[in-house]
Amino acid sequence: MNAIRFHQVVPEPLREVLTSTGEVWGAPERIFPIGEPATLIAPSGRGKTTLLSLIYGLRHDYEGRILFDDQDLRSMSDRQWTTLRREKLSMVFQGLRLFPSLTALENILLKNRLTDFKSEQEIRELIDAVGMTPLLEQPCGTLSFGQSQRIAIIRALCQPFSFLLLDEPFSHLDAETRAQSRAIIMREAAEQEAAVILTTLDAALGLGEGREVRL
Amino acid sequence: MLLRVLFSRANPLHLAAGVVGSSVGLILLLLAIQLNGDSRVLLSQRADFLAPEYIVINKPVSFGGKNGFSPEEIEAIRHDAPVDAVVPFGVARFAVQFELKTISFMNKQLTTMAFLESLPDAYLDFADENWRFSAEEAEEGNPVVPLAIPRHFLTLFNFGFAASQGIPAMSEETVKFMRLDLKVGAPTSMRTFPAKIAGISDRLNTILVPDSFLSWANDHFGYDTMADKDATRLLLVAPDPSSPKITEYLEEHGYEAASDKVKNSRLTLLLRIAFAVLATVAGVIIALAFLVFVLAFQQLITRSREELRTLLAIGYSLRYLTGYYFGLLLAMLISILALAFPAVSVVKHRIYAAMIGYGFEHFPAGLSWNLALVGVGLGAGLLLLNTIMVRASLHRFVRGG
Repeated sequence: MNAIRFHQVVPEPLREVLTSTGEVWGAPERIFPIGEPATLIAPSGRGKTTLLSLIYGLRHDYEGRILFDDQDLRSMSDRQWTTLRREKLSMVFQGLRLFPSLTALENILLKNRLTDFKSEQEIRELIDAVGMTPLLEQPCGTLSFGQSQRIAIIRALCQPFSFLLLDEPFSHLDAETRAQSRAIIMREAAEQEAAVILTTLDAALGLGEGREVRL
Repeated sequence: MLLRVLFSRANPLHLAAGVVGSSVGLILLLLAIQLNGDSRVLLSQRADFLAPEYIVINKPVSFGGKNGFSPEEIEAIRHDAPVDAVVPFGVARFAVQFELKTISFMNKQLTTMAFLESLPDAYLDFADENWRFSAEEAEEGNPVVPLAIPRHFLTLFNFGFAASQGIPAMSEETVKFMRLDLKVGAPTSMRTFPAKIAGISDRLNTILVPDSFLSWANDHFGYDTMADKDATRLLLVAPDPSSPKITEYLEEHGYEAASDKVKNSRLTLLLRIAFAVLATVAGVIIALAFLVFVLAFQQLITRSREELRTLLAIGYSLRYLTGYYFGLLLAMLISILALAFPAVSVVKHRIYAAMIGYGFEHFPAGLSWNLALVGVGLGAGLLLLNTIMVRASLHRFVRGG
């Protein structure tokens, strides 16, 4: 998988709201190539989460065409989506989607045992890199949102991917942990030669490199 | 880990209600099937005890009407009724008189007008070496004619007549030593044969002579004005005398069964109705329980929908999660079945233990294979239904629905 292409895509909920064509919505063509980081910047209500959900196959209410290389997203089967989510696409959800009854480590392992991508040692190193080691055995339900964000980021790194989708991943992180998290994300993406697509309200909470795209 | 995620929002009470309800329903249903199957064995055994495979039938007595069976009617019964054989009683078409010389009463010999009937030897319920007659001997001399009387006669004589009239009672053995004279022929010219009682019948309520004697005597002494040629009674040989079909057939054609064997068929009918009711109730319970089960399971999915959506979103496959629920359900069903079969067995033996001493001795052991079939069939049905429903829900969740 080398690129994600958008052709005149307009999500149903935004049809009335969008008055002008942006760099993605309604654009004749928008390509996210592999290996290139992109920070999508837009105020609320401009469809940042919607865009990632479309790519991740969680929403299907749009006009236009979205292609992975040459395959239209609309033609994907359940099984193809599952395979993509294990091997090509990884995502940090805005709501994080961690299991509150499981510990931080268990949340990560629940994903990793599916892909068997990282060793437990590697996982512990990642956790340590974002300063979460002391909270490893705590149920996620008891963690703060910022702490949970870091766990969700590590979970997303426990699989092979060509595109890493991050939905406002640093919104509750201080400057230090933001830098730590950014570092492990960019390192993993570089190792996998993958593209990172991050959404944010504010350019300061972006990737700090690569292209900036205004929705 | 997955179990904790998926059951974090489960309502254990609902699941338990589904499991317990299904178990109770299944146990009742299996019990109904088992007892219904056993009752056939039990009743045929009980019927055996009452001399089962033979039913004597006649037409109801009506004033001036004929009550013999015509050859066409016999043929019709043979053809239509659920019986193996139809045997008409042979009828004597001549006058019959017994004289008892050895006992006198008020200085008179005991004499009585009587009648004779016969059946082929194969259908008799007694055996005696003297039960034979040869025509040659009768042409040349005066052979002893063996007779068979119903046990009721002996009882009547001993406890009614003899006891009240000061005559000694006679045991079965004594009766068989007694000589009496049998006079046959037209009332005006009778031939006398020595006769003795060779058989006492529990089943056949008539005075019998060997078939060979009756046909020979009918040839020699019979006269057409004497009696109806048609047999007035038929012996039916039934493979399953307790089958309600025979009763139905007899009632439909207005024939009377002369004995209480047919009561068995009523009993069978009642039992079958009882089992049918039990099976219906069990069926309703099991249907409701299954509904609760399916709903509880569905609710489990609905309550865990966020967890399931997330699992599907982080790469768990629909097939894996469906298989996971399938495994869970299978384990539950196996435990329900594992509980139900011993329970049915225990209840069955309790029931039979209570029945010992009421004429039943041999009880069918073990459980019928049908039960396994029904149990596994129902389990498979439930499994299939649930899996289809789980799959449908998950399919929506994969796409974020």
